[in-house]
Amino acid sequence: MDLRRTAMPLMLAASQACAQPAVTPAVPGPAITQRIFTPPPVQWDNAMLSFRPALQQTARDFANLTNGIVFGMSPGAVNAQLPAPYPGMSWNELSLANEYPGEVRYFGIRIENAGALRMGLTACTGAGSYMVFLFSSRGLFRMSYRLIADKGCPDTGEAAREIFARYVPIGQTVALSVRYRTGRTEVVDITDSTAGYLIPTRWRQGAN
Amino acid sequence: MGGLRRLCRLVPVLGLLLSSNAVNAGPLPFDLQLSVPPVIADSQAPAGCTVTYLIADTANNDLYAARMRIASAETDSPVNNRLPCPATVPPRVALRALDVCTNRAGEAKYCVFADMSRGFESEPDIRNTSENASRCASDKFSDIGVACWMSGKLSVCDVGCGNSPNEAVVQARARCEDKQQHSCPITATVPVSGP
Repeated sequence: MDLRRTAMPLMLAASQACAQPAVTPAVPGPAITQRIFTPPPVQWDNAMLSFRPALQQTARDFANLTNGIVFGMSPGAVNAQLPAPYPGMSWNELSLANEYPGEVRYFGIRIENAGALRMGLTACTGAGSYMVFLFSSRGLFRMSYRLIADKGCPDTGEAAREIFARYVPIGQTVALSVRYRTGRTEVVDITDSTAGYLIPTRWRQGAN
Repeated sequence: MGGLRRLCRLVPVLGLLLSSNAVNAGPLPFDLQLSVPPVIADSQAPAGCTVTYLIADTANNDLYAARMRIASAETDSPVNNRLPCPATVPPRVALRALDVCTNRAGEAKYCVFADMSRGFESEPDIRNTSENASRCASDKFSDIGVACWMSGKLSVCDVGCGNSPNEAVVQARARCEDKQQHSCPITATVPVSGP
């Protein structure tokens, strides 16, 4: 009886394997849904010779997303928009971001203090995660989310995707959104599209 | 009698004066109600052509839906309330679709069409992907789907088109399992035309 009970599933498994020799046996498990990012559409002419953005987006669309923060703002103006502003802030007191050519300064806030800039995150972020506001002499040119994995949150990839997904629908004429990984940190950079030579620079963990 | 006549002449003048804005002396309101009226979309208008590509960023395992709207010709007439899409789409449209990824992933080599051939996991190169099979056109389909399996940390996918999200995923999964000879449990779908 015990032998029959053991043999029957083995025979069934063998017959299934013979029936579908080519396909790797489907492991019954929950289907996983992946996220698809949706950049704004592109409008082509009928001959498909030229294109332009299909949507007219402006800095106001960006400000609606960031609770009023726009590129070009001074450090003081950005600070004032935050839920818990630093008391007093001057250009000379800001740290230098050495990875950039020229004089670029920054300040950072913990991600849990970012208010609306958290973009309604539901995924874990790691206790040490933060976001940085980077300024050139022309004002704010980049916001950089840095999501650091730790024991409590071994993978911050989903959090990075959640944030990135909110910025991707903003057209590249308004803001450039980039996502990458360095060390244990998932980075989402949102950059002023007019920032020129500052745009390609990326942060590397341990670089500063 | 003369006084009464004078009063009769004055009454209409006084009425005009009292009813005019001149009585309410002061600055005119700034808002002259000249704002542009809201644009009212014609919900009955046939949907224009959109060709949507699914693009994969193999560095981050991200997927992008690159929507390309193509203007209709004056001679085009809708079928089932959908305007026709071109029978062939030139490669420059596909290259522009890839740009939505390369602009965000940083390196062009990581951006490929999401319909991948068998063996993509060992040679993750755009030459092992299909541009034609990575797109769906709105004149024939409402949804584009993708189904993938994980080869280590790399997502290997194929694309399907359908007239519902479920149909698009079923088509994508069937194509993936047929081409890749793997179970493809990771799926996603978006509308071809988008919001």
